Amino acid sequence: MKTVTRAPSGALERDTARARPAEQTRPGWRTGLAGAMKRYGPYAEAALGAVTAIGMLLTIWAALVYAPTDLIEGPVQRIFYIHVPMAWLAYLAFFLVAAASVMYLITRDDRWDWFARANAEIGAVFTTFVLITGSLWGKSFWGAWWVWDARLTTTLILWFIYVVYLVVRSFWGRTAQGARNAAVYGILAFFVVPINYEAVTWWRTLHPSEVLPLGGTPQLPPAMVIALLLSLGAFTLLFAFLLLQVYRLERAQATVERLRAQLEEE
Amino acid sequence: MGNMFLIASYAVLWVGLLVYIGWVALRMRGVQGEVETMRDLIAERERQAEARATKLAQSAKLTAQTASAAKTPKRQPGAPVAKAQRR
Amino acid sequence: MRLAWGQLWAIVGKDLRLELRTRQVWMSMGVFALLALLIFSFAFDLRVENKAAVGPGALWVAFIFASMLGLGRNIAAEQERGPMDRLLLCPVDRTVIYLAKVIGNVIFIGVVEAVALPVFAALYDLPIITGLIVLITLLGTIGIAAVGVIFSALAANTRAREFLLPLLVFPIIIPVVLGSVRATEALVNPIHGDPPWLGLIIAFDIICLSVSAILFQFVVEE
Repeated sequence: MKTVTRAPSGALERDTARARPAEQTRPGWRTGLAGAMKRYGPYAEAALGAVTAIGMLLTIWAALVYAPTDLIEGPVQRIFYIHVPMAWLAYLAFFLVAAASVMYLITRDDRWDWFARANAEIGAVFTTFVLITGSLWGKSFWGAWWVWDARLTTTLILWFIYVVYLVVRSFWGRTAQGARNAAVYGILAFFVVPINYEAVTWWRTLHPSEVLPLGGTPQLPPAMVIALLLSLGAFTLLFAFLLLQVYRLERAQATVERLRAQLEEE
Repeated sequence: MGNMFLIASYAVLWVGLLVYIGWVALRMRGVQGEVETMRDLIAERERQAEARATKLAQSAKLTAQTASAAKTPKRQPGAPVAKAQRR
Repeated sequence: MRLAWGQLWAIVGKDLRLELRTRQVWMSMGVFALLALLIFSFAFDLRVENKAAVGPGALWVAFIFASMLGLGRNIAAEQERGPMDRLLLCPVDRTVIYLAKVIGNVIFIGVVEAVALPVFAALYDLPIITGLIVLITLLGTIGIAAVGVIFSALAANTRAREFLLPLLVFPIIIPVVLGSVRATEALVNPIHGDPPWLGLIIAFDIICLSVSAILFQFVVEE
């Protein structure tokens, strides 16, 4: 008898806990963090947006005015300040997709899935910009829109992987099965990328070599390095800002799906 | 010549970024609208269900009072009805 | 361990027996590979000086398209008869199922390739029938099957699955394509200081097989 009466009350408690997170049920730093997020979140986001906008404008100034003109390549070298940071961030997004996929398979928490999706989308957008700016630079410097060089080819393959990821996700819908499938694809693709890079490097190499060798002295004049770092910072902020927005969009879309299921159920 | 490509690449970047941000905002607005309409729909249904339940309970009370003398009271669906009959 | 071996070969044997019973798929794959070779001979200029450059590429594109057909058949067979569902009910480790499927597909695709290779050598008049081509083809096929099996399982439980499979597989198997084509080219026209393409394919095979063997359980999970 006792167990029968206990079970529903427990379920009720769990339901209310889910409906109203933190506050009474989960004491400790998480509560404080959630409360702070709720209270200061919008301000922090607005601040992030403002700082991003300022940083992006500063980048234009640094790249087009502050940095010295390259002696060999001429003014077209200034594409470098948007091309390189975006390429790095696109690689970062690719890594984050794989990491979030692993976390999703371990925890089965939908939030990791949303995070992976958001990263894939922004990664695809950034990779697109990298390819476009790169080919504009190539047309000017090499005289060709595209050359089958190692770095270019790897980036193009990366772009295809992102696009396939997004396309198949839209096919699979927002189901647990679809999320698991996408996670498997994301992880496997991540492991293949280094081999891919090695393969196309053996195949061909034309791309300007690493500009900031890790641990070594940079080959660029200091003003160029400063401009590049400033631009990298601004693009990282942009990346974070976009990630936040797209993540929220994913969450809202998941809510829509849940509500739709609830409506159809009744 | 080089300047043209430089301008083109910055223009592509900025226009593209603004278009992308606008697209995200549009999708966000659409999804939020959907959420609102669905919430409204669900709330509406719940209100209707509640109204039906209270009506049922009232009618059940009435029948229970009037037909208390009868041997077999009519069974009504719903928990409050069952409780009322038990009492 | 011994048990796993037994299970592995039991599943491989079962799959191959099923395939032997339906000979149409083998036939159509083989004919398809030969047709692809024929089409390539029209598409490219096959004079003597071109042949060595175009031939290996044509061969591998034909192999890959034929393997896609074979892998697509995997999906269709699972969907129609549902042996996979019954297999999943058995107390067999998912990794064993995956490896058995890969072995089955390698044998399946390998038979078709064994038929297509001599025909290719004759049609294109290239001296590629050596011991090494067997190794290259085997390693390349393992790479394609390792990726193809897990992705056909991914595509199987969704709509538009036949159309999704190449979309999923092609961007991933690029290292295998590159490696096998170059290694085959080196047979025809040896270049000094050629990078170790075979090593690359082996690395790809090992990484893809091990990662997919771990991930396969998540794909077939209900």
